[in-house]
Amino acid sequence: MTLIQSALARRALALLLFASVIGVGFAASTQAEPVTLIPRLSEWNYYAGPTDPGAGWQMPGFPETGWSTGTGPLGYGEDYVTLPNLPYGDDPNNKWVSYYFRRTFFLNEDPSNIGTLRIGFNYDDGAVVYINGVEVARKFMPAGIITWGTLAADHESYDTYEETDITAGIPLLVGNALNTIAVEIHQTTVTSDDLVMDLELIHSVRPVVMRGPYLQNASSSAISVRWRSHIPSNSRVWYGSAPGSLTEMAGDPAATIEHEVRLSGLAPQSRYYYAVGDYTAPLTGDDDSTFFRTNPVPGDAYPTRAWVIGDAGWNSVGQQLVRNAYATYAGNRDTDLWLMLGDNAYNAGTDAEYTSSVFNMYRGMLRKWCLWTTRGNHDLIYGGPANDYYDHFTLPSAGEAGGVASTTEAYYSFDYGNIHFICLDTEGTSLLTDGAMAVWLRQDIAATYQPWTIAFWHHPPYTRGSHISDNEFDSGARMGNVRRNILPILDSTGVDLVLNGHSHSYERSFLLNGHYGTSGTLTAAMVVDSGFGRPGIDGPYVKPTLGSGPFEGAVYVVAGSSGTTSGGTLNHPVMVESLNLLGSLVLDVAGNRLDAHFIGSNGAALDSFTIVKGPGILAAGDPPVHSSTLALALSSANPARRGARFDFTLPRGGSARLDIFDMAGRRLARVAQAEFAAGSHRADWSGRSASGEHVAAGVYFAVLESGGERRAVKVVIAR
Amino acid sequence: MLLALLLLTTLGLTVASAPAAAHEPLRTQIDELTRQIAADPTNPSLLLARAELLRMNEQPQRAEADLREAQRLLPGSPAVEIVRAAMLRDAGRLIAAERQLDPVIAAAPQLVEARALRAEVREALGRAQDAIADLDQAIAQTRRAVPDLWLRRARLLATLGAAGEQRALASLDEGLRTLGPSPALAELAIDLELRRGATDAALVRLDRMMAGLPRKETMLARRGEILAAAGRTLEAWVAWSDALAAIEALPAHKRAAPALLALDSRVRLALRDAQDSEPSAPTPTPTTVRTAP
Repeated sequence: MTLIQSALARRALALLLFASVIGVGFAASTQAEPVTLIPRLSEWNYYAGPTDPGAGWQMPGFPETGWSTGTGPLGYGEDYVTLPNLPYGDDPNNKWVSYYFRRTFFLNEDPSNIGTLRIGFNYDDGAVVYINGVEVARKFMPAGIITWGTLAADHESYDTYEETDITAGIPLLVGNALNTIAVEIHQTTVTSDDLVMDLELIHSVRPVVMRGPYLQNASSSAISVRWRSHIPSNSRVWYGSAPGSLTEMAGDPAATIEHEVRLSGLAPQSRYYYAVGDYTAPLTGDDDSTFFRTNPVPGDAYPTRAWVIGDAGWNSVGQQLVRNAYATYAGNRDTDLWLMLGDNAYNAGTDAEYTSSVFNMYRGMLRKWCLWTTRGNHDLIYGGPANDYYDHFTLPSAGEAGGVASTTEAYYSFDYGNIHFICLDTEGTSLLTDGAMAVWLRQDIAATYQPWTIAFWHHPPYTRGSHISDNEFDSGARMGNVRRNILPILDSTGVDLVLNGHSHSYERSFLLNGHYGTSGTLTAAMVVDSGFGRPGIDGPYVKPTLGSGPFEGAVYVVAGSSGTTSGGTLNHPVMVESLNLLGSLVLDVAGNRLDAHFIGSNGAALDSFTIVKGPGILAAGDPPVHSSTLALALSSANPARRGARFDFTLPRGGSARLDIFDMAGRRLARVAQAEFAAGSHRADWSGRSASGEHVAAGVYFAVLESGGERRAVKVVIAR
Repeated sequence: MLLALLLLTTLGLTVASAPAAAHEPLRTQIDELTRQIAADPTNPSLLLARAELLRMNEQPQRAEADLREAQRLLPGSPAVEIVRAAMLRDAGRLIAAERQLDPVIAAAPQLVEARALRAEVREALGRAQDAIADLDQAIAQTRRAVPDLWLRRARLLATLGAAGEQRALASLDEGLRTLGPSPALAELAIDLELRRGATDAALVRLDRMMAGLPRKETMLARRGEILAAAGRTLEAWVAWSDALAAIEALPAHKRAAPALLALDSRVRLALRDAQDSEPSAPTPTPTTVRTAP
């Protein structure tokens, strides 16, 4: 295994070392330090006399006329109290029974952020404590109304501070304002020889959710909910079928800032609303936008929507546009799962970069959609606490979401309904055929019964974008290695779709099989279907087997422009579409049909294709799979400024027509419609629509239809 | 590829157009990095990336200049030394690569990447024991489950004779306990058991691995082959008949896969051979469905 193979790997390594040496970007690791509102040995105002100080003495704003001031511990008869001793009257056999203490403190906090409130209390003999006039603690005092003459049960302080939780009193506090605490101390007898009072008041702030919640490792019966809090606390998730009705809960008593709770025993394909918090109460959630949907039972042909983004993490306007465009496109349609193709947070995947480019950027989406991710060359590992790709995510290593256990989060598989997803690691794992990943992959892919197999990883086997897959110097030969060593495994077991990033562009292939060399080695035998795969244009890609039919071809998509674009020649010969445009990929799988759309940052569908699997299952109106020598070619310049010339060949004589369609599939013009003899023909298009207007600059399709078959070519008009 | 180019250079061979074509993308990438560095001159990662491309483009002095600048920007970081070592490794200068890594690891023994890299270098130098020592440390230090580290160590151990094989098996068992049922580790352990003639031990391992798999036909066939190789024909026949039953129980599209068709043929052939050599073995039929041993 070559662990350090390329400039980019070294770049990541350098950055991780940089981070670990100078300590940049580490996660907040604030401890849950208690905040002392009133320390021990503080100054108190007190009243000592033969009567009580008057009604309302516990209340804020009580006029402390005639009260004295002293520093705790206040009292008499013990050598640890502060001198002078408090007076007890003239008769040592009939001492004053009760003493009253007050002071104010400023609470520089919203009470809703306070998690616990407690006092450390040094008292002798009995006591009652009030906050803002309301009793919060009673010690060795009888029930009922307490007066100046009420005697306490026996209690000695021994100069110890007894901890008492008064968290229930938090609502009495007023935030960002002065608050009043009042204490009355009562003797057990009128001859008591000692009296003590000192008190500390301490609170701890409630955890605040700094990251998430986000959803991981979903299956048909379980899901992991993760979030980060700014201070350690225990963890709890409440969940149920509707907001306001979160009747179930699960949790973890261990204090942590990285919370993870696995919910199990869930019903398949069901929506659950949830909230996260500590054992005290929820911190966030329990609303219409905090929910998850469990996976269908593996094998169920549940209509599935997946959102795919690659190289997105630039924390850029472009990233926001792509995100917003998909949100608009999706509307109210649930997104069932979400794939990230690596390089999720530039420049090095530090914790701070992940916070801004992933967890803040997609906050609302992460609460609802389970995220599955692969590692790119910019995703740091071994970078110290929280600066590690694998610390951010919980991925299935034990086959808990379907598939064969990989024993590592670097590569894994899972089932969603009738789709088997395979995630590979091309950044940090050996790509050799006898490497651990390849051995696992063979077992995993052979074991799946799902009709669809979709694989994803970072480095594309085919690209001419900002990276060049033919170049063995590029990215440590990872692209060549994956093409030579991994694709044969996938082809032989019938993968349908491969998703990659790395190049910051959109490149999409035709239906391809068995192409393991550089682009110059591409042969016609490797082309299963050279069309666009578009129903309504030239028909979908058709794979005969409704299942994992081997060597029936796969479509390869580079979707690495979800945050920025980086150009390139964009002319790889296996690609039918290569765009230097921002966007993300949307997959819809329903039964034996997969539809894919590349949604640009303006919300437009810039490319689409369809794969249909199984014999005799074409959708109504779709043409059959290519089988003859019907051919269509563009013989004029492309892009064209005015119009275009087409050469086409018919295998046998008969009716044929040639039409021009726009990207949305609307027919704009008919170039030719006639009875043609078998053989070669030519037709010209003026670049005008049927109404005689010049069509706008853009991408169009010329579609030849004859004998129930279609062929299409792309025409670009540049005016 | 890189080694091939180095050999061409060393042998003084000239290829008129291929190198130029091969280097064209390199120059493009170097230009792009130069543009990025101009915009972000204090980014050491860009310098490190360009340094490697420059070295590949046979511009070692410029590469070294980038490394020195990166080092200046990363004071106290071992990153540049590790990158330099990786470059030396790629250039086939293994001793120099090791010398580059030694002080890095001495100063920071917890650097898994450095340990793993030095293990590669030492393995290439033919010093398996030293490579194993580095992998021991890499495995002990890594925070993540990395099956390849365990696999590499076991393969190296297995090159050290019978005692090494025993240590390799113990290491694989430790890996399986630590990581879980890694297919790669389990398969290597079976191979090693067979290499030392421990058929029953191999079968125990195979059965253990098979128990965790949703599909068992390949493992059942393997079981038959192991038993047949040990001369236990009747038991082999049972395993193969189980494999056949497992294949026949698969959905049609799975059975039609070339790998399955090949397996099916192999199993049927093995059954026929077993029957020929063991007349008492019954003829397999689709009803001879057996549960996995």
